[in-house]
Amino acid sequence: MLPASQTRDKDALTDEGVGKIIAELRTKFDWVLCDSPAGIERGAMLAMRYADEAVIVTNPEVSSVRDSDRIIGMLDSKTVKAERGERVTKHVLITRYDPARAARGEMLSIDDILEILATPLLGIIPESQDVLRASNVGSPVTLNNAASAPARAYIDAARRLMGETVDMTVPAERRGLMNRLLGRRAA
Amino acid sequence: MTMNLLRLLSGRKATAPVARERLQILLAHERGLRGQPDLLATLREEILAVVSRHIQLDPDKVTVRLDRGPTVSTLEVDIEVPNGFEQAKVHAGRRVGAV
Repeated sequence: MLPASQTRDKDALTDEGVGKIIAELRTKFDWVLCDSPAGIERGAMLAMRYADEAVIVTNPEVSSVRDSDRIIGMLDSKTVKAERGERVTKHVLITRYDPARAARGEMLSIDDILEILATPLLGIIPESQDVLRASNVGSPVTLNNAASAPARAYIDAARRLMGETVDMTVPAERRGLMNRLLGRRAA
Repeated sequence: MTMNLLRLLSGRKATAPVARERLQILLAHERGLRGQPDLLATLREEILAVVSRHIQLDPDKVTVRLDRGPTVSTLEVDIEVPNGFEQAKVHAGRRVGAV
């Protein structure tokens, strides 16, 4: 897992350097996950440059879907695979999804997003307070609370990425009796 | 149908269709631009080639920007030139003259 570049000067990374490291990691690991820094710039460009597959993480906001469309365009033209005339396998992972709001027409639906991006769906991560709780303590939600709805959704998505067939459902919060009695409560 | 009913009950307007439309317009525009050859990169390379014939330049110090306005667009070319380049050129000229 290569975290996104956070160096002050993103020019510290060179195309050749990243290529060399990815080539070396390829010989040692089954999966090399390369996170991309925020923004569509050199950092993102280098993160995708040598990719075989790409997971485009988007949320149901106009700005996010728009940037995802630009990234998809770059995956199809600026990667080593694209330059060789091959294709990077692409997947869309939709985060912060609220099925109730989508049903009320207050949020872009999964179908809207998939139709616009024309890219297969890898998973749907429901909007959840568990994500911030985990992030606050510096832990992935999948480890911090593996039973939570977003954690189950991430685990399902990872299994699909590995080639398993997993039903595409939006996991819902399992609310305890106390929670249900007290209604919605702050974390 | 259910969506409309829910909306009626909640008294709120559905905004998702607006988001969808905004995206479709934005992306239709952006995808159109994407297909074109990279005009700015081509301009930058050719300007760099022409200027380099006369002045030694650091290729990284050449910036070409295009600002799109409603009626006119501005093409901005910014080339940073090291000090003393004129003297270097004069010297070169003299040398040629001497031969």
